[in-house]
Amino acid sequence: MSTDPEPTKQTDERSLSRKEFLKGVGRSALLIGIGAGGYAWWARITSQFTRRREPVGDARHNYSMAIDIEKCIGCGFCVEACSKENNVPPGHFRTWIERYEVMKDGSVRINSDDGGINGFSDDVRAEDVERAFFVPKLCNHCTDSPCTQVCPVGATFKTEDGVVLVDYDWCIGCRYCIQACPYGSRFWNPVKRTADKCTLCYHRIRKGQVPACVEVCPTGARVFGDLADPESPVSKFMRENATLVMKPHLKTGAKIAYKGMSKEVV
Amino acid sequence: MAPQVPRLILAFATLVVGFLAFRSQVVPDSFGETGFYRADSVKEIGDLPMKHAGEETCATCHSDFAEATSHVLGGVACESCHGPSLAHAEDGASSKPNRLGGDVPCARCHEEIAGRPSVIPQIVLEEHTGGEPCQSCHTVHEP
Amino acid sequence: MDLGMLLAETSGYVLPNEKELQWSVLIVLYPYLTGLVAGAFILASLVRVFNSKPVAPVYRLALLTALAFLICAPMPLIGHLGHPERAFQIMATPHLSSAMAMFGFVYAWYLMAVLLLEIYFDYRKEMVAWAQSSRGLKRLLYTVLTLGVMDTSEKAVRFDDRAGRFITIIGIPSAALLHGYVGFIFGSVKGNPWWSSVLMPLIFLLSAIVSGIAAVLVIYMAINWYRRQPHDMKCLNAIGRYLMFALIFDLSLEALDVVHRMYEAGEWFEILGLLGSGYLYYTIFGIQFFLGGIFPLVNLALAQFLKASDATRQRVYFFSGLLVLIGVLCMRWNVVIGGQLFSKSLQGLTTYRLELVGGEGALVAIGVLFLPLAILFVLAKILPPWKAHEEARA
Repeated sequence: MSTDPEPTKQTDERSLSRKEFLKGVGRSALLIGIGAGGYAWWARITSQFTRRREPVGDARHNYSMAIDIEKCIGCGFCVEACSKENNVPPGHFRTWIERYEVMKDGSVRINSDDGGINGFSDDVRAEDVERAFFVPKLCNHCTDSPCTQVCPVGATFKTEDGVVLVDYDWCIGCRYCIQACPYGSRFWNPVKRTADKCTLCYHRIRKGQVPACVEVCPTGARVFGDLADPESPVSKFMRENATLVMKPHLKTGAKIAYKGMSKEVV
Repeated sequence: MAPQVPRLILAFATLVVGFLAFRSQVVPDSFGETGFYRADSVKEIGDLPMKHAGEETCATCHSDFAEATSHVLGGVACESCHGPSLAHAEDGASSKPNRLGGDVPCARCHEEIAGRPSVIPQIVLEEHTGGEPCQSCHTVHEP
Repeated sequence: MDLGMLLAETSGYVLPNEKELQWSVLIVLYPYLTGLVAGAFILASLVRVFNSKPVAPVYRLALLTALAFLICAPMPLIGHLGHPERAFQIMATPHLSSAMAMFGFVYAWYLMAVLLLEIYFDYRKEMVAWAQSSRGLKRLLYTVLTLGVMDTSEKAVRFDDRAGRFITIIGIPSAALLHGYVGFIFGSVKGNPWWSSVLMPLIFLLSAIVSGIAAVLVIYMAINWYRRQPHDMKCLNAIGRYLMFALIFDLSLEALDVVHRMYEAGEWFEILGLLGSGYLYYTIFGIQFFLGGIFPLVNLALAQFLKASDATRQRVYFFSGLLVLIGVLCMRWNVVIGGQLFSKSLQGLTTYRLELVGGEGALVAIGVLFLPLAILFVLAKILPPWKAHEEARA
């Protein structure tokens, strides 16, 4: 009725007593518990009906790559080959090369013009350079990758053979994974409108080939193989050389191992 | 029981059932089979076409060049200079790899620049070539 | 993001894939909008759960404000997605290890189990009356809104009241979750030192409460001017007081975050210091802390402790509220955009070009910011938040 004073809920008999408050909390906890339990029960029931078929990625393999910094000449053929093999849009990089120049005055110059896709040329006087080297970088295919952890829909994942992939038909393009990668390995693909990154040329390695970057490297700076096979090139490399991974303190389980790492590498 | 309760339960039940029905239609069958992702995508990505043929494939027809390069140019893959050539390997006539002509990329590896380790011989470009193209003195596949 | 963005100015060494920003101004807006929702709801709960009598006049307005902003909240997110047509996947296959996946269910829970239910229980009795006293489409609308429960017996009304209070109690942690998880989305990214912080969810939540209270304050005053109604000074003074206390908490935590980082001085110290003293200097210290924080706080404190006329106090409240709203928006900008302006190499900076037109441009952002007000206008027409209270006073 229009003359009924709007209950402002301030009268004494309506004020919330502690007992009511606790009852309310108890009831809500019970409801939440029932809800959660019900969902878990339903999920278990329905999972029994999911077919479990032969996995495509083979768990007997664990593909990885190792980089020998002392052999990289910065020619950029790897970046170019990757770009062509995988239709990488210009300006974006599944792999790239960084040049580090430690100058005689102590400063460190780092550059990567266009990812090194056209190689490098001298940009400072050689006599001012104390020490310099090239570092190829790519996705580290981490075993505890922060990128797969944060994907909200399950569009990026690690296969059973150790490669982190993006499902281009499921990715919603939220870009959280690109933010989460501590190495800057991921990028936004403006053509697919999804996240994208190095796939270790999964389409090649599943057919017994090596990744395109490994194929064209003239000095053998990139070493590919199956960590589960002790005779594979990468396993031998890891046995015979002291290697480091990038940003180990973040415990990402990064797999790409670098020989000849130096403190200037970011 | 207050009259709102059955009505509210009905409303929420409709929403929940509707959502579950919708979900059962839109989630692909292979989702969740091998992990929290669409298992089919692993095969889809694995089946993508390759573009680079690999040195061994080039050698099956071009064994003369392959021998030359493996002796002298060492690890230089044919496709580093000639570009991805699988299409050519599968149908030689229809697709030609990049033949480069006079535009050889030797300097990309062999120019002496800061940071380049001495795993390969290097030259100071202007001094060595005097402006002449590399192939005026070197045979391209047997330098 | 087009090729133009790739030509963004960089300084130092920026990793090749990091020259363009991934999250644009639309992602700045999402935490802002959900923050307003959470804050407005907390203000409403002060009435219902903590019995703050003076704030009662804005109880319903706060709920409607929360609803208006909540309806608009997913819009910037969907507008930003690369594949908005796949947005449903976040509800269909939520990856439970991802804080972002919580969005689907927390949002749905908050919208349906908290906000809509609370508004339902609070308005049901009047909606029945409105349904019975109108005809045609209006009658149909109100009947549907009551879910067909036209019973106004004492038992039913008492249930409305009890259920409403129960929902509000659940609503408080739900509101905290609705906005807290956004802070967690940023705070849990270990690869980004600007974001990675335990304090992030707390700071987000507290600044949300501040912005929500300020929003209800400003909207309440604006509506009164529009309807030529006098302001309820007891109400304004109470809200002003709450805003002041909330600001104190919020600014303390934000200052703590800054001081803590400067003290700890990890490997990120140089590059973040460059950002804070350069590109972001005016937005952090000028707007977020001073113009949107300390300045309104001092004014609010003076309004509390000094003798002032009602007119002066009203001016202080209104402009402090506006400044606070701008300040909190700026804080979201500083976090979201700021966290992308430096490279993970920790050796370089890049720039963000906010375009005027375009799907993620300034015009769209302004539209998204003001659309909730238009929705609130419509909501207030359907469910007037003031009628009964004014009649009670008369």
